[in-house]
Amino acid sequence: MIAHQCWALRTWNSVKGHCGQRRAARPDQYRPELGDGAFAEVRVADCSASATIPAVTPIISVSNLSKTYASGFQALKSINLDIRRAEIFALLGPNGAGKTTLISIICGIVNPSEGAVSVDGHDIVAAYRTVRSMIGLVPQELTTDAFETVWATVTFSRGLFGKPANPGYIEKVLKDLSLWDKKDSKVMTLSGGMKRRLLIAKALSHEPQILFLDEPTAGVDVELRKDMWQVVRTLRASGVTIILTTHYIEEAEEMADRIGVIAKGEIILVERKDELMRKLGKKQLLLQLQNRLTSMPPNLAVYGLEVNADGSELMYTYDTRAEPTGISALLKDLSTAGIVFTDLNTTQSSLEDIFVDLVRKSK
Amino acid sequence: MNFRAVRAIYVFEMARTWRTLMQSIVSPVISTSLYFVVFGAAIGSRITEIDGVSYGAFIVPGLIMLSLLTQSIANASFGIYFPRFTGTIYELLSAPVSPFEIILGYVGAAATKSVVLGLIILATAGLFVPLRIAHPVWMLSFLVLTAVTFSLLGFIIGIWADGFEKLQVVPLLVIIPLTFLGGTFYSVNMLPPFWQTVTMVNPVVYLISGFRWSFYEIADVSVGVSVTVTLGFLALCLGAVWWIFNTGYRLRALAGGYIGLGSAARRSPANNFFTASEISLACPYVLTVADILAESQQLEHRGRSAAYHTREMPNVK
Repeated sequence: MIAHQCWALRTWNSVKGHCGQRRAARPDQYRPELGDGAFAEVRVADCSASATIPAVTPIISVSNLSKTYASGFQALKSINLDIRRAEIFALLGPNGAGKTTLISIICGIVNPSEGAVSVDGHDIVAAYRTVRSMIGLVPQELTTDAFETVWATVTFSRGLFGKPANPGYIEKVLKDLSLWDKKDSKVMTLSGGMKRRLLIAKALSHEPQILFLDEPTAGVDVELRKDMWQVVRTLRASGVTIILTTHYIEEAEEMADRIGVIAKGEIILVERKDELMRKLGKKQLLLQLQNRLTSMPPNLAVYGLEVNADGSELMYTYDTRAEPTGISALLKDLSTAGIVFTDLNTTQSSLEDIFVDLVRKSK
Repeated sequence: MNFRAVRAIYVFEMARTWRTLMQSIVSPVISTSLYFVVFGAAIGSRITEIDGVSYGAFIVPGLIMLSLLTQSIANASFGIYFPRFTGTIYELLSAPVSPFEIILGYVGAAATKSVVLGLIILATAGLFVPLRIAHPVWMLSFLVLTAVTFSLLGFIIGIWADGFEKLQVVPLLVIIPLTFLGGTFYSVNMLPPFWQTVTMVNPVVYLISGFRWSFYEIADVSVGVSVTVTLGFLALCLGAVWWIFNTGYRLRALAGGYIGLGSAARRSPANNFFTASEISLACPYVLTVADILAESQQLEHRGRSAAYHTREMPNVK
């Protein structure tokens, strides 16, 4: 218990400067084989969210999960998904794809029609108390009380999840979310962004090991969004697993370690973000030619260039991570072949392009 | 058993009483005093005594029951309806609490308020008429039993209601008439024989009769029957609540993010609160009141939540 509270306080240590460094793991990752009092060390993914995540047993394991509503609408179709401990997992999908249904089932708000979910080895139905006390949920809508104070509503959440009162911890949570000076204000007097942070404070009030953020930054201004990302990173660094659904691709691009794409109730893809960007992300060099090209000179065949219909443009697609990218060689060979270009332009596919591509293909 | 959760719900609900002291305590006390003035003085001058008890004293148990019934229902129904209305019920549903704990918290708080209110009204009545309580333990037992039973009924109404008007329907159209016709202001024996028989169908008769017996040892029906009927009604309410949690009937948010759900909660009771979004007629005026209050205190926040543009996920067709 004491160890757990220590962790609770450490949860809020600033993550600044933690990029790639090694930190002590949470007490529940205590490894007795390392000797008395020793904690296992885990590598914390770096701040750009592109470092390695240790391959550990999944904290959430979803197997063959389906949900069909009374109306006959099938929101989820046999979903299989593993969420790893202490990762930020972004679940992307168009409206009505089943993101919220999936989260609602894991959090115990919706009953699954088929399949099972286990959280840290516990079945979400049979061991609902254990599972739910591990999870914090920040809902999509700004569903808050109106007449209660910030302090009362956060304290209520902590009690509801069965934790003993800990004013010091709640103070820390409110301070970290810049809500401390509003602690005695009624919830209805808060701005939208404050209410959003209040929902996060409520979700964190019981020191969850898993945090679900269902579109956490919808309607939050840019500056505040960055603050919230920082809070999320701090949490992850302390060992909290974060599952994020978002409409904003930049959020996933900025934050996620892994990305899952869901469309029409099916998981289309689950991939490490950087891997996804590397695999599916391409960069293209577009050259506007001075003279139209009628045939491809033989020395340029190796580049796999594409010529547009009227021969005025050449497009070279390359992998930015390739060594070499082949650009200097291409430019040299163009010069050798006597091809003169008037302008050049490079474009890179974003996660958004990748996403659109994936969802289109799934249709 | 998650006692901390029960305590959290209880404390949270009780806090509303102190915050809304005027509606919760003061206004029932004032209206009860008015009953004394109007009925006690106006009618009491014509009916001096019923079964050896002065008219003013005779109506005290009935008046306490009237408040107890309406307040128990109002408090409990509002307590569970409001989270459904605002959508904050998501938290209750995702919390490690069982249906029993949820009921214990909400119904416990509502019943506590009603009992406190009943005792306050009793004290208020003491200022107007001389009181005699022959069986204080029975009196308290009836008070608590009735408060719990009708708070359960209120909880059921709060789950059944899909608009603020429905919250009012049962207390206004059912409870108050039944209380008035249940012998609050008269003895059932004073009615013509036919209506005496009809009255026996009214469950409130048994509550008031038993409660009045604990004061003055006079009763329209025997105490045993009163206790049996009250316990029977309690069992009925418990059965209804059990059914609600077993089937997931209307255990859901009226509005909010989690929509489209609502099939029977067969595997894990307490789970199934959400279904199609349905903002009731009451929504506009509630929001208006909240807006006015918020506006006055919140001008400095204006503009902060203004829309801004960012790359939003395209909704691929």
